[in-house]
Amino acid sequence: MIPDLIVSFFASLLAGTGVGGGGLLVIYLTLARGFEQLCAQGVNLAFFVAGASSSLPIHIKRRRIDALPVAVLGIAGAVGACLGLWLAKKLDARLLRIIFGAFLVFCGMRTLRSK
Amino acid sequence: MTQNLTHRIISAPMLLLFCAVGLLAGTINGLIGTGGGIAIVFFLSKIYAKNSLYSTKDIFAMTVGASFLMSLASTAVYLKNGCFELGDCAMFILPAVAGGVFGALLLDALDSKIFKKIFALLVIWAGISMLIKR
Repeated sequence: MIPDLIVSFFASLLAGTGVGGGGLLVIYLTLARGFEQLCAQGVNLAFFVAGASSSLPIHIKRRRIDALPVAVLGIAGAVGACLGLWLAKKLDARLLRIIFGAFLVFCGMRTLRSK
Repeated sequence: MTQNLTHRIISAPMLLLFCAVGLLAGTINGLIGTGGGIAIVFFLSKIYAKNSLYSTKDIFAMTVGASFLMSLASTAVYLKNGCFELGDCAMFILPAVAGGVFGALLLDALDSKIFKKIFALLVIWAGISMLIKR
């Protein structure tokens, strides 16, 4: 229970600062807790919603949010999310994990190379 | 962000591009449960907000906003399809809310470059672990 709380807090903190952290919970849930890939992804999404719902009002208050681009991206993204889950359910769990792993390596390399 | 930028006019072709990027980001989010924000950051910083007065922090905050909307939709779709139950994530919600508040407050104070490099190494290690896991 304690590791769950600690990982969740720091993953959300890192996501809130822009360092990253979105995939951290999926990694923890699949590698350390033995969750199924799709279940871990679902928990990670709910976790992100919870974290963002607390950080978003602060960003809005600081006038960092331009509403129209955010709304258009968000609504189109909601449609895309349905398509993404449809694809995820079609794929084998191992293949889905490989895609996720390759995505992490790509993101990590990209961040390392950035100035 | 300056006052006039908050009412910046978006042309029709740019609006279509916004829809395409949103669709792509949402698809990534729905497929692997994360990562949609990366497509949005790339689009906002390299195309939409290039040579504008948006700061990196503005772009990041807008990405959080758009990611929130599409993650909310993704969560609903995952729940509806029975991929997970709310009980599975109860333990993670409260710390996530606290972490989100601290993260947003630290955004203005923190020079995150070193953290980013450390985090990148962690992510690469985790990615390789996922790739080789049976």
